[in-house]
Amino acid sequence: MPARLYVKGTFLGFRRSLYSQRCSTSLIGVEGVKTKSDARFYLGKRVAVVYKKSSKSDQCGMIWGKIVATHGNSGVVRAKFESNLNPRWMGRTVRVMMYPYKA
Amino acid sequence: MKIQRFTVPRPTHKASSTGECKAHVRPGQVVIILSGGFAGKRVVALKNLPRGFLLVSGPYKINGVPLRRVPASRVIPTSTLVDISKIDLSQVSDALFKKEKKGRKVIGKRSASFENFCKVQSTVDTQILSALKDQPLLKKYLDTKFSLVDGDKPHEMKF
Repeated sequence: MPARLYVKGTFLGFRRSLYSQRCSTSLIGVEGVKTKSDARFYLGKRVAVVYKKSSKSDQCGMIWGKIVATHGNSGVVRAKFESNLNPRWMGRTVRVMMYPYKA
Repeated sequence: MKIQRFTVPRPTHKASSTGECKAHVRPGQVVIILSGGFAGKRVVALKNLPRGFLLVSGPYKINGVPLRRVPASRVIPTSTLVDISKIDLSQVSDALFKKEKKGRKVIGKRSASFENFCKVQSTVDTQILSALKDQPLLKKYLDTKFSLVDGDKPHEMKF
């Protein structure tokens, strides 16, 4: 069986102010991360979103990104993806990888 | 206006000034491979290579990982050490890993370079295996894959 080497995260939404949002930065809640200092472990780590390419086929696509910063004080992180995430995917599970490892 | 698109940086292949990577792995350390076909495997690190690569070996007989170069950033070092101070790596070079140009396949015949690779690998592996000789638990540890389950917190783990 393939090893699972990612932590589950949730795509919470985009970085935003009251009326406008920046779709180029997504907010990710990582499972088990509740503080800013815990979240720092994940800085630079790669994130992947797996999605179905169409409702008819089982073909899957993947969008890669990386975690660029922490966000707030409760362990949420900011991530940038190679293409912006679909806003319909808010609430969806993403994969937070354990690499690149920094000493 | 030119729009700059964000691109995800790949693991750096740039040579640092010294040619050596920022070595966070000591030779002999057991490391966990984090990506690729061997993801989750615990292997023995043998040597830091230039450009941030790492020479590792399963050993092949224990967990099926051959002599291999992996990016050091795609590996987590553990606190487990194997004593490989006497290991001889003089036969291992970059040329050893070069793939041959694809030609016509001759069924049942291995190419000369592959034969050579197998020979070098078995000599290196026997040296590691002799270091693991009286440590059945360590052998079992190398044979076990690392994997996360729900609720695991890598940020709190001590490897």
